Amino acid sequence: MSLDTAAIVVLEILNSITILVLLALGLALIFGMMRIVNLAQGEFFTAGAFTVLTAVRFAHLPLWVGMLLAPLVVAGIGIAIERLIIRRLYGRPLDVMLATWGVSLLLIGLITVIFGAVTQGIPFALGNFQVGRYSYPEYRIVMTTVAAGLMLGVYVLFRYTAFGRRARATIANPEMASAAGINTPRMFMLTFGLGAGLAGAAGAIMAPIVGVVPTMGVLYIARAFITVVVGGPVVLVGTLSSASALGFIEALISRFSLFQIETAGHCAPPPCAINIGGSAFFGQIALLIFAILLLRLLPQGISGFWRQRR
Amino acid sequence: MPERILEVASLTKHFGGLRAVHLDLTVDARELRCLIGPNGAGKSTFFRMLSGAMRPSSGTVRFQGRDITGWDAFRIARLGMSIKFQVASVLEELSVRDNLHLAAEFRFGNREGRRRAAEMLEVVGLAERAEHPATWLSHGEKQWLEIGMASVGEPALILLDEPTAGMTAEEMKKTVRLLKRLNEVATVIVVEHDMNFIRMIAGRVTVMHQGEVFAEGSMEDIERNEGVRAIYLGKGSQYVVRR
Repeated sequence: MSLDTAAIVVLEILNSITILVLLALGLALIFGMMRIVNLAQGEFFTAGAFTVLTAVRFAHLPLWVGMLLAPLVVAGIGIAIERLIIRRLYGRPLDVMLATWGVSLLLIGLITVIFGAVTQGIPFALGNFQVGRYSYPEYRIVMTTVAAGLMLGVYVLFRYTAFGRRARATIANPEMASAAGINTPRMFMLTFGLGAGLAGAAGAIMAPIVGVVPTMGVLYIARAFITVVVGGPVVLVGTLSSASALGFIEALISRFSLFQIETAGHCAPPPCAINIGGSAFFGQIALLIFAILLLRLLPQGISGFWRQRR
Repeated sequence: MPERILEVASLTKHFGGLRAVHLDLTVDARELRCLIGPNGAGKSTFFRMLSGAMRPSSGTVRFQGRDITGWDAFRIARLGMSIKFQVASVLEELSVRDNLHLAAEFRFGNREGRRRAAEMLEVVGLAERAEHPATWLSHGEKQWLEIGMASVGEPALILLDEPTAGMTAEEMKKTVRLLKRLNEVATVIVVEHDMNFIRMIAGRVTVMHQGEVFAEGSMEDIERNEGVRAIYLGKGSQYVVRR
């Protein structure tokens, strides 16, 4: 393998990890930390993308303004949903699933009514750069930078601020936190809003490279949940380690063909064969199989395994 | 006549058809009150209703003259009533210092809260353990940390549910000294099972039985009370519960 091919493979692995981190970070707070199975998380992602679309297409704002607005708008939506619905259902996980599924359908319906059921693109100005014989989109480097920035931001917020201490206290032991004068309903609301906002940011960042369509969230929610479950209970370490492991496998299998299966029929040139590996389709299959294996071996997720070992 | 800090009237909690608690109780400011009673007498349920962790089915709680029935727990805490629960409730991952800081912050803000937390480390005797995660503490040390967390916000009323559970005799003596020190500025209500501890505290004692106040008085009165002996003190340290 030549040097430029190796560099491209590394970049593609980095890109897979980036996408998984973006998808999973908000859910890691809402599901990993708060234990809320939020089936509307994919629609928070969609709402972020449509905020950008609205800002750019209809309000004629610059792309980056739309991308800054998206997390705020979606955090607002998240806070509204927490106040109106989820707040009444804490401690009732099945009801939460049902309710958030309803919210998911409602949001898809609303967005479809407003924007129509068509796929729309968001134009952006960045080009490609050369890696030896290959050219690679500059925007992917921007995405990785933003994902790293978001992770760092979440780390600093939870580790070093009064808000972070209170949020961790609230989630670790609501009764104690409340007895220590912490307004726990407010902390739940803000943490949920933050998780929604992060999903909105992910949708906004990814909007230019995917088709913006009302049902787009459905495509991503499974991978988000898989990443969070494989990551386990420690939010940042878990998300990063599981995104790394899964992203690595996904990128490799997407890139390289493992073997061929010969099939019947007439082909030119013969024989007929299907490549296993070497496409995004097989990359996602590999991700799923690898996730199942990991969970079989480490039922607590990667970070849960390390926490037990300590 | 001393100020009444706590007035509880017909406070009731039903669990389905079971009436777990139904009682009237008043506590004067700066009192050190002991609450005793056999298992299932409703002591912890009563505490949880006072602190807002559980909503009462009916009745009223007046704290410093204000009706706080059904308030959210954090509002009651901010008003000046704090609680140490029966089950250990420290944040295991945070350091001992940060646990105290968290409990001081809502009242004094970040900077002053940090100073108060440092002071409280000395008071509860955990200064050497300040930077250790709370999960490293022994059972007795965790109890002191919790007592510290319940008192660092300078509450007017401190509720302590079994503060000496699992303590050695030596640790218990230290806890008695600690409680007397806290009692110099705050009213304290303490639920305990250990009769030696209650004798050392030497405050007014309320006996609960089947969710109601059964008797009230000094420890000598209580130990002489035939009915109390029958339900609680009889046969050495064994509980005898009349059914």
